[in-house]
Amino acid sequence: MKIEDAKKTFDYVFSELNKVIVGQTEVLKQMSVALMADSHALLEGYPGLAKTLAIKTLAQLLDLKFSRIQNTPDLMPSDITGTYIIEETSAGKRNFKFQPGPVFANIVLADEINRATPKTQSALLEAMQEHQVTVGNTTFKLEEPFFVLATQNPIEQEGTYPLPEAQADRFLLKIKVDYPTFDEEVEIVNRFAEESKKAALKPVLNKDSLVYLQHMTRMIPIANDIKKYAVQLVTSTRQNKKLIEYGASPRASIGLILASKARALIEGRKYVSKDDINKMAFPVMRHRIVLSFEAERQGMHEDDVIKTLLK
Amino acid sequence: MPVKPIVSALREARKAVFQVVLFNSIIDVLVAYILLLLGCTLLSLPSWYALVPAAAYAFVHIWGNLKEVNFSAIEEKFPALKEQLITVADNWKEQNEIIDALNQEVLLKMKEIRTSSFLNFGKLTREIAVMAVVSFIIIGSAAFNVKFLDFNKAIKEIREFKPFEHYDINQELLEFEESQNLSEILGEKSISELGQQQLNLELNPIMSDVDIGRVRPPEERNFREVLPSEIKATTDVSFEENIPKQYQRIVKTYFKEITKS
Repeated sequence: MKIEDAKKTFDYVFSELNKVIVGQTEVLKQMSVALMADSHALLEGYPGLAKTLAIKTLAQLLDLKFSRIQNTPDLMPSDITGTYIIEETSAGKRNFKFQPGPVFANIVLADEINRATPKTQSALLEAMQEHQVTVGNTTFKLEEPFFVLATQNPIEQEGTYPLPEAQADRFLLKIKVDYPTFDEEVEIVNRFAEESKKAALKPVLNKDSLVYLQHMTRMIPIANDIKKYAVQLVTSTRQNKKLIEYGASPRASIGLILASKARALIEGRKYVSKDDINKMAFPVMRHRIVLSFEAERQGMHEDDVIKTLLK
Repeated sequence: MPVKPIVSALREARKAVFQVVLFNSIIDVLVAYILLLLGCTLLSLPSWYALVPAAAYAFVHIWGNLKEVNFSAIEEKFPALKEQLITVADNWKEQNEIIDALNQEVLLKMKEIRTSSFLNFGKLTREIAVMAVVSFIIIGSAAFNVKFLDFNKAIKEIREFKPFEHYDINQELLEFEESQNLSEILGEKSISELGQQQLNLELNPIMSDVDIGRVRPPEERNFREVLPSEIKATTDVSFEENIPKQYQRIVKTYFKEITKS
């Protein structure tokens, strides 16, 4: 597959997504970036902004095994990873058999992840990082490709458990889902309040194609200067003590380069540009920095601080 | 795909930039020369006077511009190509289908670079317009002999002007000889002599400011005979004549001749 073919494929994926999702172009692009970088994404936005719908629609377009975890405070880790159940054979003998949980899929939608307890959230840690699950004494490998696309909303903090920094760091991107524009909202109303017919979507990418595109992503060349620029950007989060209490880890540098490569591939470019780095700096770094009191006192958010660093 | 074709394409592009920079510099020098030539024309200086500063400017300007010709000039002109070029340069040892495709793309874009794309047409047009206008001014000023200043004459006058030296008096002129024509001293005879013609002068009483009817006999006034002690009558130095001895004869003869006539 050539870069041009890859771009055509992505264009088709986006056109299919737009049959269901109105607007949110950047969100869809960033979700695709996470897929191409073989990593996970956390979507944050207010309720009703089609976060879950976007992930479900993307999963429909990929010919992959999809599962959904609706996180609640009473959700147990075993509800995610799976557990041993007693199975009775035809001979009447009873054996323990492992019943895989919803994490055993290619695409896992972890809806409202901040509603699960930290214990349950951490059950996802190993799966996300190691692509494996350990139950009891046995470790089970997860099928590749494996993506966790989680959602959370920034309000309704009552009864929620914010993701600890260590777990948030496992997500390559934290994608902010904003409100649609007026025209987009009118179109949403037309599409969902008046038309009853649902868009028929066909899978566009199968497992092999996706793995190949992930392979292509890593092959995208990057100039040394641009690579240094990305690393410098990440290290600057550790040096700016005035605004940032805790900066991004080297994992952010890896993620930024990888995400920029994926963006270049999606846009049909054969090289990584500085613009890719600048654009991907926000979703890659916003959940990896802890703002200082001074920044909060000034009413700054993570994106404002990243903007300052980019200047 | 080897990176050599890209390097040679880059060299070609650099050569093109070199040529354009040289051309632009020559145009700049021509503009400077024409302006200097105009200056020379208006100051009545020989036209070759403009050549010297123009040659110096040409040397400095062309040398400075050509020194700055490098690959960054190409990158600045084509920012999109810049990132591609540095990517190709940094990954020339790597080989995969994407890098090969990138090399091909860069090569194609390099081939599309035209020499004219490095020309600044706006600046070029302005410079040509300036040259045309100044040329007409030069022709016009030469045809109508327009000069702001005769530089040669001014220089000559400045050279001859000796403000701090004493007047160099020609002694020969000062020596009076009987044979010497008096007109040389007194000027033209017809002007220096009043002649024997009688002048009839008439005073018109109407035109006069003096009212004869108001003329009264003189009044007698008494003045104090004793003057104040602070009033003294002395002779001022300015009234003293101190004519050098060698000129006394000339002055004497001069007044003698005047009284004769």
